[in-house]
Amino acid sequence: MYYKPCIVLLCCAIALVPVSSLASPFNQAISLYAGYIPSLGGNLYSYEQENTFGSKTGIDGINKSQTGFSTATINRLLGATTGATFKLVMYDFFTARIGANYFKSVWGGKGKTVYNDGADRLLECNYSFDGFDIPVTVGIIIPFYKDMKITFSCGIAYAWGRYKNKFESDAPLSYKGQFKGSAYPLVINTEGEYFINDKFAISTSLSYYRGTTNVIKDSKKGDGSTDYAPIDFSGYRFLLGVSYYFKPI
Amino acid sequence: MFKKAIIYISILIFIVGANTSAFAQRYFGVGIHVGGQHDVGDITSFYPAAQTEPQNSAIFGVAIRLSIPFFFIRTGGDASFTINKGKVLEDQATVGVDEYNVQYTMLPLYAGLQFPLRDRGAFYVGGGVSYFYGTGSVKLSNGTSQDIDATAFGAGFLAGMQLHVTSSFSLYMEWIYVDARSKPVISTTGTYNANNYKDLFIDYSGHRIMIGVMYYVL
Repeated sequence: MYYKPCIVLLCCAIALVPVSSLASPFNQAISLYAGYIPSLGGNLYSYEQENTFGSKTGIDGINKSQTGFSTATINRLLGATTGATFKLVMYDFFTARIGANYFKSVWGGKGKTVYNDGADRLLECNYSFDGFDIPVTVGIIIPFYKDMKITFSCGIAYAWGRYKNKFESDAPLSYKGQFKGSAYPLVINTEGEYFINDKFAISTSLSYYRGTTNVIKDSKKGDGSTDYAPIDFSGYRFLLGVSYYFKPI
Repeated sequence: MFKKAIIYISILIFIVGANTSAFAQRYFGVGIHVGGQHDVGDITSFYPAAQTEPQNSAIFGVAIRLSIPFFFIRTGGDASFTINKGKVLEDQATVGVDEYNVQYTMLPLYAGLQFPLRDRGAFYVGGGVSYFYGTGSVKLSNGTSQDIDATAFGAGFLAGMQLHVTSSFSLYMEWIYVDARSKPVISTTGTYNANNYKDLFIDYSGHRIMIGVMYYVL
């Protein structure tokens, strides 16, 4: 309940810290980056997948095969992500950060499986996931001379996601689900920056998010079914990018 | 004996490391490593309520590393060997699996940035993919056994540190996470699979920790 005001206050504090003086113990930087998210959305569980298609583990368990059916493996989603982070560096060793990231599934989530509704039937499955998040973290920097910095930070994010699924067979049957919701996942980030000169650095980072929404009701109308699913933001992110420091390091 | 060996090796590494400076740039290295993975073939990704004794495996591998000042490419090959088989402890009649033993060969290809710590070592983080070929067996709930023959391709990342011991040798420690599952390759025999489909996939996902020695040819 108090997360939102805290995030807003922290954002304001970071943005308002003055850095105009070269003697100031504060520096600021902007990072732009892109990367990927293995297993975006986790196993994408929903109630109908268990109730109608017999999968207790969403996209993992829905894969089945049977002689005489041309099935194709439905892989977990691989997501692409891009974003920017504003960093406040305090006394060279401490940092507070706020970012904005967009993510979207770019591979996986499509294929064919079999299920039984009295007779074996081929089922075409489609999954997709997209959303954005605003992570706010604080952490510690280990600078190595003027060459590089290694940073470890943690905090929380406001994350919003949209998970869609679609199941079609020649029964005829068509289930479509769309779930939208937000959560406040835990964020842990490790970043390395290699300075090309005293203001620009190339960077790489590993982030781990851990957080899931409550179970959300399907917002897709007109397909004759109502599904329920949580939206899972948990997972690792690998990022590559560039940083610009407002003052020389 | 074992403790003494560790102490002597540690002292040797410290003395050599403390007295070595101005190492040459390392461009191409070949390493060997040992490591481990917990919960190989995680059966709960197939049946989430399964109470299991997870499989643990040792990993032996070869690493090939190309690097220029701040980029690196890491490939090689790893083979897993079972320390203890995985077991489903309760409700095997529903899950359809009693015991499993997954062994795999992994071919990784990762690239990323490395952060040299002067001439003492490097910290590096990279992303990439791994290819898996798995063998082994699954003992089913009806008492029969089926062999595993499953390939998979997955994405993940690698993070590691190197400590330069001499101008040619480095010790390294790496953490590799990969997310990879095969297609269904085995028909389980529990009530969960009432229609006798091929439904059990092999889950190669997980964390691997490895430690090794690398020799830099160039």
